[in-house]
Amino acid sequence: MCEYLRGGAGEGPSGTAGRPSSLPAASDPSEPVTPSSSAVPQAARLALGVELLGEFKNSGYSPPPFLVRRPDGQVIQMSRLLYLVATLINGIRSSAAIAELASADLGRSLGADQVRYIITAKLLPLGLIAGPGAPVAPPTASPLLALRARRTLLPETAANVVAALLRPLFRWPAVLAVVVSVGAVDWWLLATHQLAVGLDQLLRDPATLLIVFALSVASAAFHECGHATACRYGGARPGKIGAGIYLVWPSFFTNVTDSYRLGRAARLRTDLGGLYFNLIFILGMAVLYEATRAQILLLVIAVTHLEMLQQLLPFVRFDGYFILSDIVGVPDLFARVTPILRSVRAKGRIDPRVAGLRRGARIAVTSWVLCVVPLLTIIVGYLLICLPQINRALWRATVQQARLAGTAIGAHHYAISALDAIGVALAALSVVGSLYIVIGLTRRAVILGLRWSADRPVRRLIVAVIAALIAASLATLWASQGQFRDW
Amino acid sequence: MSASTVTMEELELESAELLPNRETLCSGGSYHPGHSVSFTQVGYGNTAQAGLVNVSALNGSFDNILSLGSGNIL
Repeated sequence: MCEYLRGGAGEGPSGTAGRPSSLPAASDPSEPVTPSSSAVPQAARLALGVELLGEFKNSGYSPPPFLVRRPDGQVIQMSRLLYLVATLINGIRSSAAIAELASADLGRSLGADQVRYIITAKLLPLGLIAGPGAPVAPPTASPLLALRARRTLLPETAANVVAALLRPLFRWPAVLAVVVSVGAVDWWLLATHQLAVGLDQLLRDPATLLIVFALSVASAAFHECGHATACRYGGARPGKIGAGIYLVWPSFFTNVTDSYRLGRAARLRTDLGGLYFNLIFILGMAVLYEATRAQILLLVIAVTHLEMLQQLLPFVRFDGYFILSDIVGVPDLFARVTPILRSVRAKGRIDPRVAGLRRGARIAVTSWVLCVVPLLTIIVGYLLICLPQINRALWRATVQQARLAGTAIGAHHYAISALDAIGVALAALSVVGSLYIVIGLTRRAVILGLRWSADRPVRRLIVAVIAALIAASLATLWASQGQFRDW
Repeated sequence: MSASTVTMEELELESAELLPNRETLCSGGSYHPGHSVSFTQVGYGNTAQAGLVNVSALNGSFDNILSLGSGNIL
């Protein structure tokens, strides 16, 4: 299909174009580096708490990258040479000594000036080197479509205690027993039982929806414990478990960044750990049903299955995204979107972030990009075109739910009023979330436009005209469709 | 330039990349608009719905128990 899909390693472009945007700008390498003018002391040392994690195992890249973790938790993927120099920095060795050792390891000659260049231009701006010149606020990743408004529910220490306690659940006899048992429960539920009974109970007594809701939230929290436990079982240390807002959805989260250090199988176990704990939760519901015969529990089992299916979506940062990422060995798929589109457009001139991918990984990631870009474009486009209309509907729902909550309280139907209150909160959250998405994307577009047109008046004019055209078109469309009326 | 010497051009291409935190996510429950399924229970004769799937209980009458698409798209 494309030139860049054919090859494997070593197809990087000639010249210096395409430095990853996440890396701070380096000084011009063509200029001689003056050792005495460097901010780096004679013998550089790594910043306190920097951890060298080694090779990113089962990588989709050739040659494989290496990983370093800063004390603030930021993981940095880097080339072998940068990593090699980082491993040789110990606060005692001079640049010349590092150069000598690195040359022996590489089988190629590396000079002391070049080591100083690597330290000053590559490692220091990333916050990996201690001493003068180190950035006060080292750069951190700001991924697209990330979780916002995080709140900690279980701090790292507590999450590790929970994970250590639940770790035996990942022994293979336990896994086998759970999977077979859930298979039996599902067969029984689908083949010999009627979910309609539970639905009927729900309709006759809608307040039972509160029970379904509460159990569903508990299932989601337990799901996250599954990720933390799997991470710990694999040999990495899970971080905190918490809650936040993902796009417009309230979500639980677990920080399993340390699983970058694991091999593919252990990373995949971490990804699947949440779904595995959903299965355990389903078994728990089945046992509870056996004891109580409460039909509503069967509905909870069905809902949990739907949540598991939703988790497998690979287009947003649910479990399916991480599963795909670990199968192909590429840690940040969203960061490949721009390089791949750029490489497709450039016809043969391959972005370095794509060039290093093995053929299989490149095909997989390109296919993912070709699916996710149209999908997200359609969703965001639809959101933009219908923004006032969507928010009008959400606002009306919010007002109506609030009124119903008041009515229910007046009639002393407190469970129903609680349900309506949840409805109010979720509808209001959706209003805020949709605006947040649009504002966030607009901000990114403006930054990109300003960057593209920096010191280029003609380009700046083009950006201004395009922005004005888009704004005018949307306003006209919204007004012509009456989206501002009847709020 | 000798093939055994690392050039400054090669050094410039040596790259590093900030990886995002790995944060597994799970949205609790299917009862909000983000999941395209929301339940609006309305009793005592009222039938206001919001959400792609609406459930209403009407004091024994099961008219309009499930209705699809009533303008709430998210």
